[in-house]
Formats: sequence, C-alpha cells, structure tokens
Amino acid sequence: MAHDDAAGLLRSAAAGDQGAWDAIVARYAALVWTVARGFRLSAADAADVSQATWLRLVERLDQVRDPEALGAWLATTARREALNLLRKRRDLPVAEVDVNTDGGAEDEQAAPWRRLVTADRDNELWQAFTRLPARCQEILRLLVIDPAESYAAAAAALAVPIGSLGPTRSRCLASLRELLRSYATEG
Amino acid sequence: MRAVTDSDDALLTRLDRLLADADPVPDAVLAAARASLGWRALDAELDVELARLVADSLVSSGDVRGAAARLLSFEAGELTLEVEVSPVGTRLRIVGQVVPPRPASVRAEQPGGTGIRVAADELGRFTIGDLPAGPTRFVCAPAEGDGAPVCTEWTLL
Repeated sequence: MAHDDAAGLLRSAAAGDQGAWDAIVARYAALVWTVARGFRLSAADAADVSQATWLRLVERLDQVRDPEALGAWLATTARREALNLLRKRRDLPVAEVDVNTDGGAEDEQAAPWRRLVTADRDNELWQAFTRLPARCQEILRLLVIDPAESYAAAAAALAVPIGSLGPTRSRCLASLRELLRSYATEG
Repeated sequence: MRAVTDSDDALLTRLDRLLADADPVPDAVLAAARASLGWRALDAELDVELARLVADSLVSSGDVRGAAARLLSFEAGELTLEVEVSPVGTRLRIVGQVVPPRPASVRAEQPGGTGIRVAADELGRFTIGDLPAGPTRFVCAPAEGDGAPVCTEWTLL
C-alpha cells in the first residue's frame, strides 16, 4: 500500500468500505500488536489493547487529523490503553508503572512476546538480540515494522522525542553487531 | 559471519523476519480488528450521540491500591452517565446513574458479545450484575420522549 494512500483509505473506510478498512488493518496490525506487547502484556491482554485501539479508530474515523501519521495515532492510542490496563492489573499508583526501565536479558519472565525461535532460523541473531538491553529490544522491535512512518509511530509508542530514535537505533545496532562479533570470535 | 558486516538496514531486515516469526499477530486479533468496522454501520443506523469519557478514577487517582471500584463519567451535552465498575472474580459488576436522573434503557455492548439491556429506574439508577471484562460501551436511551440516545466511547474495562 502506497504511503500516500492513507487519507483515501480512511475516507473510504469512513464511508463503510470494508476492503479499505481491511487494508488499514493489514498495514498497521503488527504495529498495534507490537506496541501492546512492548508493555509486556500477555497475549490475552495485548488482544484487548489491540481491540480497544481499533475500536477507537472506528469511533474517530472522521476525525484523524493527519492521515499520514496514522501509525503514530494508533501507537499513541495503543500506548494509552496499555498503560490503563497495566494500572488496572497491577493495582499500583500510576507513578509506579514505569515501562521505561531496562530489564536486561534476565527479564525473560517479563517479556511474554518472546517465544523460543527454532534453532535453524537465524539462531545467532536471536541469541544476540535477546542479550540486548530491554530498551534496545523494544526500540528495534518497533523500528523494524514496515510502515514508512515507523519512526513517528515508535516515538509515539515510547513517548520519546522522534529525534532521539536515530542515534538510539544506531547505538542499539552497534551493540547488536558487537554481540554477533563476539559469537563469531568464539567460533 | 555475515551479520557483522551487514549494513544497518540489512541487519534490520533480518531482524524483521526473525521477529515476525517470534510474535506474529494472532489470527483472532486480526479478524476482530477487521470486524470492528461493523460498529460504524450500526451507529449510523442508530443515530446516537457520542458520550465522551470525561473522568476515569483509574487515570486521575494517585493511588488505586486497595480501591476495588473504578469510577467513570461519560458526557454528551446535558446527559452524564456515571458508571462504577467493580471486579467480581474475573468478571465485572456495573452500578450506574443517569444524570439528570430519569428512567432510561441502558445497554452494555461488547465486541463478540450479544449485549445486555437493563432499565434505569425513575432516579436513573441501573445495575448490570455480571459482565465479562473487555472493551465495553453503554448505549443509553431515555425512556421519555425527549432526549436522543447516547452512546459512550469504547472503554477497556
């Protein structure tokens, strides 16, 4: 789907065109899911957050101010729903819910989205990736997603300035390369 | 090893493939997302006014520890729907109030659910004893002639 089709798709969907809506879902479902899972939600909770996000878009279909930034809109919405769900689940004061901490590689327990990847599928890259700080993993997970505006969406999901993402991405990829290099020398 | 000399973009491409396998969007989530558009057609038929969430104790309260009930306020013009949501095991109990007080028909709607309709009494009070958790909205139609039906925003209960 061409980047500049977003406005047209939203208009058609607003007029009831299921095909246009399906195209929007196809394009952004991975982003919404990834944002939800980035908050370390179970599949069931991430499904609720996803559903809440899509329903919000249906509700506001006429009111998306910047169709070209639909990814960022969806990411912001998913973030809000995820934070609310976390507040509810943990029964904690708002301030204690800090999703920006670096859990680190030992945080396997806290990241339900990580499934065991079969050994014959780029195992080395997977091993290296899972050894990155949790923050790097989260940022890279958001930046690999396809839509062209993934930087805007990632910034919205993480609530960080968009300008910080380029340097962070470089730093995280450098760390990833370093980890891969260490595997290479280990043989 | 190949990846050591991969450009940033090439590395991200490999990562993309890896991560897409690790945590794909479940089919049920995709199907539910696609089906969401159906609510728009329904709303066009009903000609309801949207009641916005203007207060949510989950967001505004500094300390929800120990507080079992969540208080929501939805507003559409002069009509306010106050909704208190209490957990009962994994499900919910709803106690609500139509303001200004008046009899009304209140329906709780959820994706994938059939909806539950209850009556608000002459003081605008209503109760929904049992509801699954999940995205929910309330449609309120005043019993008396005046007043258009009002439909709250979707809220993840």
